[in-house]
This record gives sequence, structure tokens and C-alpha cells, in this order.
Amino acid sequence: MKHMKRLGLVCFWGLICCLLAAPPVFAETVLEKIDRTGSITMGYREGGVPFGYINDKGEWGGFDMDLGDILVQKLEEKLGKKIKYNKTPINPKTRIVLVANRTVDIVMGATTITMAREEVVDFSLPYFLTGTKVLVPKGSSIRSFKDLAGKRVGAGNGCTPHIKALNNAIADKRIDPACEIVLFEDHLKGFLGLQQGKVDAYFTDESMLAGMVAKARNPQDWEIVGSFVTYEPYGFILPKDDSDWRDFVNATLIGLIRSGEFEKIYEKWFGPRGVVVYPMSEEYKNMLNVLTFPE
Amino acid sequence: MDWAVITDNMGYMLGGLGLTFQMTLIALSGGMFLGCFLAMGRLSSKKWVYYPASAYVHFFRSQPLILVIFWLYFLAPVFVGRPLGAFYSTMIAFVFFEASYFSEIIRGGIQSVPKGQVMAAQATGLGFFTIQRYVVLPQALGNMAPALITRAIVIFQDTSLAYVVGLREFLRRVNLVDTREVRSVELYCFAAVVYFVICTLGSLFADHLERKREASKA
Amino acid sequence: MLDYNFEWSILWSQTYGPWLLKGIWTTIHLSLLAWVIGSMLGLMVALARLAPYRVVRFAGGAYVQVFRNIPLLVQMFFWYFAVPALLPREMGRWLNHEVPHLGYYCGVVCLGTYTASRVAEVIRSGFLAVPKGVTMAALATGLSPWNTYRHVTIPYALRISMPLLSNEILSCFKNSALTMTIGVMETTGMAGLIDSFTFHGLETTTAASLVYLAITLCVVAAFARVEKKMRIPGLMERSN
Repeated sequence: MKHMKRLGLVCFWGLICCLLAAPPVFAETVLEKIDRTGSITMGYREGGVPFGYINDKGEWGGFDMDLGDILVQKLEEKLGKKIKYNKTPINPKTRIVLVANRTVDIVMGATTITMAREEVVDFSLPYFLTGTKVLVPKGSSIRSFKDLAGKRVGAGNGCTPHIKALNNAIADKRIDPACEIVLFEDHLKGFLGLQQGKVDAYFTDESMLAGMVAKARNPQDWEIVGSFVTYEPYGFILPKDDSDWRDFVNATLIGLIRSGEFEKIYEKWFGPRGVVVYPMSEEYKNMLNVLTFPE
Repeated sequence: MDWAVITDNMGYMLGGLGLTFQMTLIALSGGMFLGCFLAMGRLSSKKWVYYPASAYVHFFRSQPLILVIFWLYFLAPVFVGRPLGAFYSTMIAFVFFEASYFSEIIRGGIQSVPKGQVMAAQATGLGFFTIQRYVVLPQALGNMAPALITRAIVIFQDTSLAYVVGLREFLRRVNLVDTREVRSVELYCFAAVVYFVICTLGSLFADHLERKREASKA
Repeated sequence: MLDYNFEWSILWSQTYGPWLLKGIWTTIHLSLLAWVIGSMLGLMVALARLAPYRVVRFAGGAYVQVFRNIPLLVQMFFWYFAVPALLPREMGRWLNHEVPHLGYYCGVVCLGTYTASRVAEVIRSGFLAVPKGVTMAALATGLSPWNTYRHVTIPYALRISMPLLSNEILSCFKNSALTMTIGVMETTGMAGLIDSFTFHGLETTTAASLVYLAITLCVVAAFARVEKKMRIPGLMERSN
């Protein structure tokens, strides 16, 4: 018995020591790390049609992932070697923390650039522009954001900007009397809740709402009402204070926009024959025009 | 109701069961291994072995599994200084967590063997390992078997919690099909049936063992 | 160690402190309510499983199998989304449209029925552990079968099951964390929400862990007293 106990003790403390003694490896930049290890870890959405989702053949793809493939291609050209490409699933709750703790090198996952998030991570230039709107059943009395007063409104659990927008609107009486905010694990559950009447309206980015409606059993039963409550420019999430890596990502993005390749990819996913039909707004087109910085 | 969504995606969803079983197996074997040592610690008369082991067991038994997974995946990298990856961090979380439950099961099993038997074996001149191998463990294992299987079923169900870190086990795959097809009720019914069938087979097996043990006792 | 900017004060800051307290309070009353449902229903199911009628026994057994063998996560979804859809139209409509905080009630019912299946098993094994001689003696003194059950067997079985029941009440508290998947903002959910507002996940998660630890210690201490009182003299010695 005595031997076994000692063995057990050694194992127990040994395990703890192993955990504590693992060497930190953060001193280098992301580009240096990719060069050294020959691999990159990129985070994508799994449940965000069509940004990143699993298609009917069980394959993982989407708008963000097409952009990511090109980024890796450019990276291979720059470093002059083959790079191992790890795709990691992320969701609205995990995406910030996974970049902050350096599990992934970049998240391409339909993420709104916010000042609060900028405090813990960095963002690339915006590559997508949408805004928040309200989804309601056709014929609902809710016609705009302020009509949410006294109603039950659904929102996504990880979508902090939307919860904040609602809270602010309640605080400064733009929504009066206050609405009840019901949080859902993801937009899909939210849409299900809306279908069942658990909430009177669902509040999130128009791009997401368009995707939900497109997949509904009867898309004509739903309508997206009002004008943009907030603008939601999406950027790629990057680790903080690594300007070489950020410059590289931005340069790749600008190159894509300038060559017209970006528009082709957009057409593929959001065009008339795409997965979700969501034509570019004027604001979005202008934003892309502005982003074609000179050489 | 639209059941075609299930037949269309059956292969993809059931493919996730592979990972579910793999995770169950790792959690089970890893948890039992670590649990053995913890159980010995809990049975030890030395205070500096007994107290850390007991503290460990009580701490993990007080935490929700979802929180432990969260700790290892998101927060451990901050302490360790490098990311562990979704699969490894989840498996470590499971092993740490389950070890606390297994240690109690194993402790109960060892304690269920009457002391007199060990003394008798010692008196006949058998050594420590021989006693463990031929006297204590066979009986202890027999007594533990139903509890171990019951726990294995719980682990099998708990692997569904790995969805928080994005591992694509069975329930996560069902969920992903759901995001594309928007047929939640049908898909969750299907998931419930699959879990029910597998776990019921397991628990009927545990009941069978229990009855056999009762019969051999009588 | 990664540089991480610890800011423990967010836990008691003006905005987030009350949130956290609200989350803890939700965990407590949700779990206790679920425990009340779980223990009462569990006792009934356990009695059904021991009933002299085959149909009743089968129903009890089926209940336990169904609720034990489907992951709680899936059950939560069921109660929240599927049950209102399966009920008669008017009732479903009423649940969805009129009941505020439906997620909370669904969480309570779900956790309660799930806990009941586990409590039933614990109590049943307690019943099986009641020595036959005790029941016989009670009958021999002239008590009717019902009174024997009511005054001898049930109290005896419950007292035997006490230590294992304390485990189940702890599980009930921990399992309540899963109600966050149907939008109930209990401790874990609230910790996550504060994290997504402040990006101080380490502090909020530590706080949540400590809350569960504290709840466990309280329950263990309370049960130690109850067990001491309820112990059957000369019979039970808690193995340690």
C-alpha cells in the first residue's frame, strides 16, 4: 500500500508541476510564429450562414472562409513555404477571448468592431457593413425601433453591442415603457422563439436577419422593419499590439478590394444566386471605395 | 413536421458519435486512473496526503462541469502561457472533473471489502500486491461495476457540454445542421432518441450486472 | 503567464455587482424550487417503482429511464421549445405569449423532473435496504399495511437515503447552470454576460466558481446537522 501511495503522490504533484511549468511563448509576433511553426490557426463561425457554416454535404465553408483561404495563400507567397492551416470553430461568446489568450491568430467571423473590444484585441479594417434592424412577423404592429416599447424583444447572448443598444435606448427613453429583453443562446433559437411567439421581435444585424428569413419555412411571413439603429462594421479580430500582422491582413484585404476579387466573392455568397440574398447598400459600397488606399 | 431533414443528414450527424464515444472513453479511463490515486489518498491515514486529496475531490464535486471546461479552455492559457487547443483542454477538464467522482466510487468499492479478508490473506502469508490482485480488487471491482457503468452513462451525456468550446461531437453536429436547415424541434427529437437508445442499453446492462451480483450474494 | 489586467473591482462595481447578485439569487431560488419538485415527484416515482401493480411499476421504471438517459441539455430545449408546440394550441399560445420569464419556469420544471428521476433511484435503494424484519415486526404489532408504510417503512428508508440525497441536492445546484442555455441568467450565465461586457472573464469565472463552492459548503454543513439528527441509532455509521 505504501508504494502505491507514494506513486500516487508523485503523479499528483508531478501533474500540477507540469501544468505550471509549461513555457510561455508569446514574445514573438504572429508572423514570426507562423514562420517558425509553419502553421496558422484561424477561427471561423460555424453557425453564421453564409459567413461560416456547415453545408448540406457536411463541409465547412462560407464568405469569411473564402477570404481566409486567400489570406493563407498570400501568406505562403510572402513566407515562401507551405503553411499548415488549422481551422478552429468560434462563436460570438468565445471569439474575443480566444484571440486574447492567443489560441487563434485571427478570427474571421462577422464581428462588429467596437471600442470596448478594441481594449482587449485589435481589429483589421472593416470589410463588411451592415446595421441592426428589427425582425417581426408580417403584419405586426411594430414598424420601427421605438415601437418595441413594452414588448418582448429577443437578442443573442454574445451580441453585447445589441444588448447595450437596447439598454441605452431604454435608459434615455427612446423605448418607453421599457421592453423586456429575452436572451437566446444563438440567433437560431431566437428565431424559433420569435416563430413561437416567445418574443414579439428579434433585434440583431440585418445580414443575420436576412439569413434567418431566407431559411424560414415561409419566408414571406416575415419582414425586417425600420432603418439601421446602429451601424455594424465587421472586422477581423487580431491579437493586440502586433502591427506587422495587422498590416499584412489589411494589405491583403485592400488588394482584394482593389482587384475586384472581393466583389466576386461577395456575389458568390450574397448575390442574386447566392446563399443569402443581401445586396450591398450604398454605404457599404462607399466604404469599400474608400478602402482602396493608394499604393 | 418535416422529418426528411433527419434522413438527409443522418450520416453527418451520426458521424459525430465517433467523437462522443472517443471523449467518453478518454474521460472514463483518465478519470479512473487519476481517481485510483485520489481514492488511495482519501483512504490514507497520513494527514498531508488525506487533506489535499479530499480538498481536490470536494472542490471538483462542487463545480458545474460547464464551468470547469470553461476554465481550462479560456482561462488556463492565461496561466500556462500557451493555448491548449479545444480537444485537449476539454479532455483535461473531463479527466480532472471525473476523477473526483471516480475516486468516491473506487473508495466505496475498496471499503466494501471486509477488513477481515485482508487480515486473513495476510495471515496466510500473501504479499501486498497478491492480496490486492486476488482478494481486494476482484471483489471491489464487482461491487463498483454498476456504479462505474452508471457514471459512464452520465459522462456519455455530459460530452454534449463540449459544445461550448466548439468540438463537433454528436449534439453539436445536430445543432449545426439546425443552423442551416432551421428545423429545431425535429432535430432535437432525433438527438433525444439517439441518446435514449444508447444510454438505455447501457443502464439495462448495469441493472443486469447488479442483479447478477445480488444473485451471487444470496 | 500572459499579461492580464486584473480588475477585481468590476465584481462589486455599480453596474455589474447587482447583476452578479441577481444571478446568484436566481441560482438559489431556481435550484431550491426544482429540488422541491424533484424530491416530491422522486418519492412518488420511487413508491411507484415498488408498487404491487405491474403497470404502475413499469410506469415508474419508464419515467426513470427516460429522464435519466437523455442529456439535460436536450431536455432543457424540449421543455422550452417543444412542449409549448406539442400542447393544445390555446395552452401553447398562452404559455408563449402571456407568461413572462417562461425560460425560468421551464428551467425549474426541467431540472425538477430530471432531479426526480435521480432522487427516485436513491430512495428506492433506501427502501430496498430496509430490513424485512422491521416491516414484519410492525405488521405483527397490529399496524395496518398502510400505517406500516406510512409510519415505519417510509421514514426508515428516507433516513437511510439521507447521505445520498445530499449529493442529489448538490447536483441540482450545479445542474442549474444549464438553464443559461434557455436564457435564464443564473450565476454562470451572468458571469458570462459580465465577461462579454467587460472582457474580464478570469474575475467573473473565479467569482462563479467560488459561489458554487460556497453553496456546496453550506449544503454540506446543513446536511451534516440533519443527518446527525436523522441517523438511525446503532445502524448507520457514515464511512469516512
